[in-house]
Amino acid sequence: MLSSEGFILGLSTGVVCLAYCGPVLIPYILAESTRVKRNYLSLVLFLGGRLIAYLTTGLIAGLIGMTFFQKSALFTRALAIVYILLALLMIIYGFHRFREICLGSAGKNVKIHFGPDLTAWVPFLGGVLTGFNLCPPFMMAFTKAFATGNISGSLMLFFWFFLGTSVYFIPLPLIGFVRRQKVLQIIGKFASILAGFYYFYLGLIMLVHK
Amino acid sequence: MKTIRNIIIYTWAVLCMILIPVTFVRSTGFSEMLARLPFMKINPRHSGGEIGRVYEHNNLKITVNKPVFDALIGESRKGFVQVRFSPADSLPPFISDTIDFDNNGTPDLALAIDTKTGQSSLQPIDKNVLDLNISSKVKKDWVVRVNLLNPGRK
Amino acid sequence: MKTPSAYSTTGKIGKSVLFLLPMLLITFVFITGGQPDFSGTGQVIGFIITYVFFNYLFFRMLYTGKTDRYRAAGFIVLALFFAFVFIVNLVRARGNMSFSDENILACEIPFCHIVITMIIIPAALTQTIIFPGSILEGFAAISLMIVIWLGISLALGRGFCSWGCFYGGWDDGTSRILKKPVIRKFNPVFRWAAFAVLILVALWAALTLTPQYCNWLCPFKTVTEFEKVTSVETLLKTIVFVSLFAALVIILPLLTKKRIQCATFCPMGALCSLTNKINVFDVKIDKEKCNSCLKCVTICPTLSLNKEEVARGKPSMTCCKCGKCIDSCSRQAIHYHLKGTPSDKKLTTARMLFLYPAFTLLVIFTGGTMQYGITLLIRLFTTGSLF
Repeated sequence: MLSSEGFILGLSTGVVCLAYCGPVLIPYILAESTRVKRNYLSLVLFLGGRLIAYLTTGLIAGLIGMTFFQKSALFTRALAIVYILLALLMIIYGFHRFREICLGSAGKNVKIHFGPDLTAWVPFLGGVLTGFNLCPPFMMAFTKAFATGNISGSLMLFFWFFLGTSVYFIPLPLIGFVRRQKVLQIIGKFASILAGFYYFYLGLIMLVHK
Repeated sequence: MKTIRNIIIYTWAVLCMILIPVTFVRSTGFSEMLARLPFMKINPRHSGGEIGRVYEHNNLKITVNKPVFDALIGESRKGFVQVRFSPADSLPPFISDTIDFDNNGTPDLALAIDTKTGQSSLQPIDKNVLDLNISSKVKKDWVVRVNLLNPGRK
Repeated sequence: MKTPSAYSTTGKIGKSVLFLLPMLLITFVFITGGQPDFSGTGQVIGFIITYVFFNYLFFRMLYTGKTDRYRAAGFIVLALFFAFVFIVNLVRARGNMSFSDENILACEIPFCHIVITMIIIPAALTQTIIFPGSILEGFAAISLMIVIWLGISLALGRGFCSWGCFYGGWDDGTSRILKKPVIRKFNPVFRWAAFAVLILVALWAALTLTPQYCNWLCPFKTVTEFEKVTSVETLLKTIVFVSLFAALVIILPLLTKKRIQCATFCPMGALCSLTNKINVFDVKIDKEKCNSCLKCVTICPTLSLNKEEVARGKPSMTCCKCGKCIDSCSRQAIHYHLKGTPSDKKLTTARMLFLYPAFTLLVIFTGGTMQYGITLLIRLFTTGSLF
């Protein structure tokens, strides 16, 4: 049955998904350092973004075929741009409302308008961009889904695969049980900026590497 | 109560004072004790993996390790297999051999190594064989690591 | 009017010599390694210089009541001689400072204490050590380095970073070159960046089963050993670590007079800060004597003090017990302290209980290396060759 196959595939490989998404989600949860309930809401936004990315990828594959995803130059460049966008998101989030860092007069001239509260967008956008990262478990599920030969079958397999991988994300928001600590928030912000630089480097390497 | 607490604290401080020289004087003994703990072994990704089989061919002792696909949890999609060529005396100028690393009776890859220049080439036979990772002289031997796809994780 | 010293040894030769006596024996034992070798003139001169140097430093600590300037002298010497001797041994063994595939395949890479931050998660989950080194044999074997770090951390907490780490002397030294900082204000919040580095590096290493801080980031590869440049990737790695050395170990410490690498980037420093929580020694500010001039905040090299912490009476967990704030306080309000004891009593006792193990650690790490280094230098000057 496609649902159980997808779910078991997600369960068996989901820890790798957590590894790919962790550097984005963990700094955010640390930096927000808020109550468990609020953390779960952020997680739902993040997973929602991820699901949208997966389904979009599935649709693209259905429309233009698997070969696009099999190491074509265009695909590599698209992935590189995703990494760079993710890097920008993490770096901007890292500096956003990070009052403890004095950026000097240069900081005052930088105005970022993302709506009344940037922080609400971060988990959703982070989820979308990490979803497009196409980690190895996702590619495995993708190949299986494509092999079903029909859209409804592949969507069903994908959805259950997504649920299987999401199980590993459930404990993350429990960081909120730690007494709200200013220090954790600061560390989370720094981690977001540093992880952003790392993703920027990855994207740059993919863009210039032949 | 305060006196007992102070005694404990000052005793602890004196013990810290003694701990530094003791750590260094007894470091060999302590490190041997630590080395006996179950996690004190080098990860196969760095050690090259467990020995699979050893055989003689062309005056060389060939050690083919078991393929390494170790990951943090479970196995990874990509790994490698290490092959070691050990001469009785000295390395021949050229090593050319086929290797069967999964012990199914059919060769999986072919290696050609110029031990003077270090130039090495790999001919994949099995579809899971990718490319050459490292090929280097190690003391008297020659060691090669070949990248593989994990057949159990495709 | 000068504030009278808080320590009973200050200005008193007799008492200072009395407290020096145990250190005379300790330095002899640990410089010679318990096996004195005076077979050559170089060894004898090396031993005498090292022995006199360290006992002079300890005597001055006792007699002047100042800690940091004498600690720093030994600490900087440790960094310089360690790098010198390490490089000479590498060149002698391999012909250059780089390690090759052969060294990696043979698991001959020396294990440095910073790797400990990256092996914890994989050791817990895979029951293996993710490092191409030797468990028990050779120079800097894994088991030995872990034992040494554990012992030091239990005894001194993050005092390791000011009394034992053979890298810390580099930015400690460069931070003292200029008399006044060019960049006067450096936000103490940056001390938490090292924790972010620790988390990310530990996760990255765990996921890839490779010590990535060593692979990509460690600035001190510049003065020890590094991967041979054989590809674009290794060239990129070289550019990264040399740039980090230049920025975090030379330029920024020079301009700010802070130990920027140790305070903001070293993951081991962050891990050692956690060990401060279980250590008996700390630094305490006597709130009765303190006049909130905040000179200690300005002067702290590891950004471990801010206004709130001064008001609270103790530095943050990132304090590496170097003694700089203690020496700088004009009201003598800051001292080494045993947790749980009154902060204004038995100051000399607390100081001595800390100084003995801390200075012993400095001697253990520096003594043999310095003696050998001096022997090599004498050989260089007399024969024109180091080998």
